[in-house]
Amino acid sequence: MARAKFQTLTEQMFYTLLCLKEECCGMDILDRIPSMTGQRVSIGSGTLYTLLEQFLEEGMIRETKVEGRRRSYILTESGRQMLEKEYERLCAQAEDYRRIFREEESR
Amino acid sequence: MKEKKRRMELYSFYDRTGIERHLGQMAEKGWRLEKIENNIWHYRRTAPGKVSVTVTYFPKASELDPEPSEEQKQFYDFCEHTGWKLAAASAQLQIFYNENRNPVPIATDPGLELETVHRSARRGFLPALWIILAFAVIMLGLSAVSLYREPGTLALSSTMLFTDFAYVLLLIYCLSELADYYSWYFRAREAAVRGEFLETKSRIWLAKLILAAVFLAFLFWIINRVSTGPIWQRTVGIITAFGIIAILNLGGWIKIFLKKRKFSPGLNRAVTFTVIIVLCVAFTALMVRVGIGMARREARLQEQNETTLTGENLSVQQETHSLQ
Repeated sequence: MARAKFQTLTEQMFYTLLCLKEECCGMDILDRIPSMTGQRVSIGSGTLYTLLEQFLEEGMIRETKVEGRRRSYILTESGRQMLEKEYERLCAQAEDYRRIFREEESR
Repeated sequence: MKEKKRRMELYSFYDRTGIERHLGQMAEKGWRLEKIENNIWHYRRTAPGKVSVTVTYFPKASELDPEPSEEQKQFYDFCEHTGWKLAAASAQLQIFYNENRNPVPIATDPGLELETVHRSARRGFLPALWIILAFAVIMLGLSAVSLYREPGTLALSSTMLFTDFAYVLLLIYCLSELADYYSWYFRAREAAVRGEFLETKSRIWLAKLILAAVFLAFLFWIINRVSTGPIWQRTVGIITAFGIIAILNLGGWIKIFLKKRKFSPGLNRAVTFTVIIVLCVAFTALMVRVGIGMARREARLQEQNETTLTGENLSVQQETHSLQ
């Protein structure tokens, strides 16, 4: 079920993985996503907790450091590929949009 | 002025909307939830005001955990970072308050949240309902068999009438809870695909109605018990009923006591279960023994009375003969 879920990424999944390009902990991600997106996207603490758990299970991220209850993570190669795939999907969408509206404008 | 308040809340495990609305209203009246123990919600008085309330779930939590696990504490840290402070937790159910205006919700992905609710429900709420349902069906089945073999026993025994009525209500309650949950879950799955959270519907009136009906039936049984049959039978019956209720309550307190003494969930469950079973069996055996003893004593007394009466009759007859 989890595999099927990550065929495409939601905005919150996408930005969580993007934050993890560099090693960071959960609380850093909670702060980084809104600032990274100009407050357009924010992620709930419960949602982030579940996502980190699932990304770990799927091997998309790995734990790097444990300081008390503060756990840090970083993106793995598999996670990076997932992000890349999602980026290409979004680019293809944007390209389709541009093609259709450019065609209309050029007529 | 009362500083603390206890209430028995009858919300379904998954009724997030109902619980959040209720706790929001309580906070406006100046009551904040501080703990949930043995199905009793404990409130303390605070300044009345609006506060954001969120009900969420932690699937790995157990009611018998002596304290939150490290993972659970990490989850609480995440929540606290966004202003959500834990008010109370009961098994997987977690209740948070937030004083900030328009805080980021704890759950921002309906699909993931629904998955969390369902995983939590499958760990406690749903298996418990299925077990109780099976128990009620078996007990009603046994009762039906005994009624078939000896028609009329149901009408004669107030105890059987009361217990069968209680099992029917239990059956209705479990079926309605299960039907409501699955109907909500499947609709919530469709809503999650659209990116929406589906609100839950409170059926608190049904729980209240069933509880009231059980209480009235129990009252009927008590009145019937104290007004019919020999005195020893009435006494033994009532002491047994209240004794079993007391033992079941004691089980709840043992569970809390062991939890506070940091017993592991498995050991806590085993000890509580064993104590309840041993006490119930021992108490029932004691009551049966007392009952048998009292019945024999009464039979002996009756026999003595009859012998005395027969003796008296004989002497009266002899006197009549001699007079004649």
